[in-house]
Amino acid sequence: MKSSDAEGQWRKLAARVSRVINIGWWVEMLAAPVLLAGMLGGCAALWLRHELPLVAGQLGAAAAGLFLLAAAVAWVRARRHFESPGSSLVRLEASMHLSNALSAAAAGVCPWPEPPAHASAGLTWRWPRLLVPPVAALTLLAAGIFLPVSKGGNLPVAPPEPLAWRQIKADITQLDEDKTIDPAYLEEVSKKLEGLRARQPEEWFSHASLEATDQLKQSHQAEANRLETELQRGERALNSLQNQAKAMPEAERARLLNEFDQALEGMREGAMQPNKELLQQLGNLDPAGIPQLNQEQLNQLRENMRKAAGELAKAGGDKAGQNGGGDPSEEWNDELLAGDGKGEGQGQGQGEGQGEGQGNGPGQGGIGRGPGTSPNLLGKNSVDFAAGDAQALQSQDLSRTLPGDLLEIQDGKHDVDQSAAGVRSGGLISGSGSGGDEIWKEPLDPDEQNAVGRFFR
Amino acid sequence: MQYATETEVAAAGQHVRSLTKALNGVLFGQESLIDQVVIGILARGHILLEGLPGLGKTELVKGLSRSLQLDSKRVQFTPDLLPGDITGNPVLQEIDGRREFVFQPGPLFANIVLADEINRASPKTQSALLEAMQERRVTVLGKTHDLPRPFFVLATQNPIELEGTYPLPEAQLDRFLFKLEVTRNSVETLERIVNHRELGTDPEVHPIMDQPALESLLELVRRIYLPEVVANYIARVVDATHPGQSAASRGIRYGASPRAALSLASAAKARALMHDRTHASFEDVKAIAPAVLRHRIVLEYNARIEGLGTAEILTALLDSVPFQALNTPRTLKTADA
Repeated sequence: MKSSDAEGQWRKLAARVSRVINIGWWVEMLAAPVLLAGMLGGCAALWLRHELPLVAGQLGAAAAGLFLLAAAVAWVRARRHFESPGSSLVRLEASMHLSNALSAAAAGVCPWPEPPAHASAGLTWRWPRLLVPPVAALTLLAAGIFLPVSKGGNLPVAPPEPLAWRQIKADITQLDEDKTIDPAYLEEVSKKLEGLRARQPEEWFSHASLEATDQLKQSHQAEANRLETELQRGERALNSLQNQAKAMPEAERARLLNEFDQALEGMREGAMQPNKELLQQLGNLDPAGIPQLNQEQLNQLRENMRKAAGELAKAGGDKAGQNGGGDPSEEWNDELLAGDGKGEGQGQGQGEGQGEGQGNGPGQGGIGRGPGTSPNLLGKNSVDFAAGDAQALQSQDLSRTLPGDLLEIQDGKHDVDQSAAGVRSGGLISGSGSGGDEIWKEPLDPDEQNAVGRFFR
Repeated sequence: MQYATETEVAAAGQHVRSLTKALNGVLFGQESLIDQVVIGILARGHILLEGLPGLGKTELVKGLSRSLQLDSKRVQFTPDLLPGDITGNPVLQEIDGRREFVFQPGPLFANIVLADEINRASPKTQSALLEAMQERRVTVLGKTHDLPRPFFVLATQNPIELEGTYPLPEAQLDRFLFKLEVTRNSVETLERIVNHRELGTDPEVHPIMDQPALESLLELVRRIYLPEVVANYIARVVDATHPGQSAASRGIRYGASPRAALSLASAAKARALMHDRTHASFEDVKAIAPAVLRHRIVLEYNARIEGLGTAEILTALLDSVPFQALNTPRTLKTADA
């Protein structure tokens, strides 16, 4: 091999060693800033995500920028430790025990030695020292970026809207899907609801808002109940006219016709009206000529009316009495509030709703409940003792008895062995021990045995 | 300066190997000692041999002088030895009818002087010898007389019989290039000595080279290349011997002098020549450093009480001083770490 080739190879090797060492310095200088940046970046990411609506990509870009900055600072700090290829050449010859042949060759004193197949400066990476800081920094950053964190107070967080709104909305949606009601009414109610919802969230639970909500709900339920009643009344009249018109007297038939007309008028007068198709069918119907009409069409019409009434009952009718009313047999499991039995779930006439039945218990509250405190709010009322009344108290707590207290009186006899026994003679033990019999009994308990043992010791 | 070429070094190496081979035939089982003596000679240094009597120190010096065909003298140092006894005295002589003081050269006027039991002479005589070692000349009655060239002093001292001795002061010890310890022989070596030697007869030594050849060898050693990094290593090693300059210097009261650094450099070059190299190396310095430094550092009293010796301290010191002053990043592990 030519000397110039050998020199080139050695210098290339030295440059490689130099690069490795310089990277080692850089990584060493980078470790602390990266770790610090990871900690600060992780905390900053958590804080930013809490405060601002940032996405992971933006935070990742910021982290990359932070890393580049730390890398630049580390590079500047590491530069003063950087090793030149000439110094690495000396490191190579020292490591490979070349007796400074490379330095001498570089000075031109002797020829360059032939490079071995595997030249090494004896340097190996310390992987734990190398990897732990960046991995820890990445972990901290990733934790900061990806850990779930709640949104901060600056972000507009909508509070849950009042329950009544959701109920009204659900009713409207259901009625809209069933096509039972005239859409104009549903639009109007929706518009009112949206008007309430358009207010500031802080005002959703204000007194005025809740009152308006209550009003809307009541009117909606009243409309639903009214229309349901009218539909049921019309359907009943129509049913009677269809099935019994021929047999019934004229006065009764006139009354039914009148009732049907009133029901139809009632349907038309209210804000909530049946869908236009049903209303038109009912309007086109001539009650006087019902017996001559197609029975199937009539049945279908009645079925539609029943269905509409059923839907309305679901929408508003069966919710009647929720505020202040309700089934007397409603569940009221708290024993403290159990009172004197069932049937006390009714307000005292000041509650809302259309519940039936009577009772002395409180209602379930509501803004229209009226003034005053709901009775039995905190539990069962105690018995009102008048001053000076004496009443016997019975205590079952025997731990508080005093000497002389009578605890128990019992009738009984002594347990005397009544079996006949004659005179017995003492002396020898008649029985001899057998296997398993107790032949010696320790009269002392363990503490006493220990005391005796200590004494004799 | 024209550095030594590989051809010159190869030829010189042949001579040096022949010399060491001849000396190994004189002194059995002391290869390392002989190598170091030859290195000391090539480095133009004086050598202090310390060892028990009868280990062959005198035989070594005699063999060296015969193989190099150099004039050698032996002086047995005693307390009553005067400086004039070694440097020479003016003697009144009648020349052409006139009486004149004529300088009668002493035993120092030889190429190789064996100063046996140097520590038994008075400080005055020791000083005269040490001055001659440094200046390579003596002055008697105001007249300076150059000593023959080359001039080597190989002194011996007995480490056990200290009664009635005058230990050499550190400043004078510094003039010796090496202090070599002559150790006892192994059983195999003793057997070899018994088989090949007769009491009262000198071993046969063939001349290896003459004085001009030796002179050219010494000149070649000077032309051995000392890389800058090796010079830096020498400087750092010598500096590390001073208290507070390294962790290993704990226990050292006084460190080595700049002369020690020069001695290290010279000896490293000589060792490189012995190994057929045109340049000195870290390994050369590390190999000869104990011989160069062991008599140049003064230990603290506490270190001696603790049982620390010069050898242990020097070993630790050489292990602690890296070949290069460069640091390695902690992310990398070196092979010797």
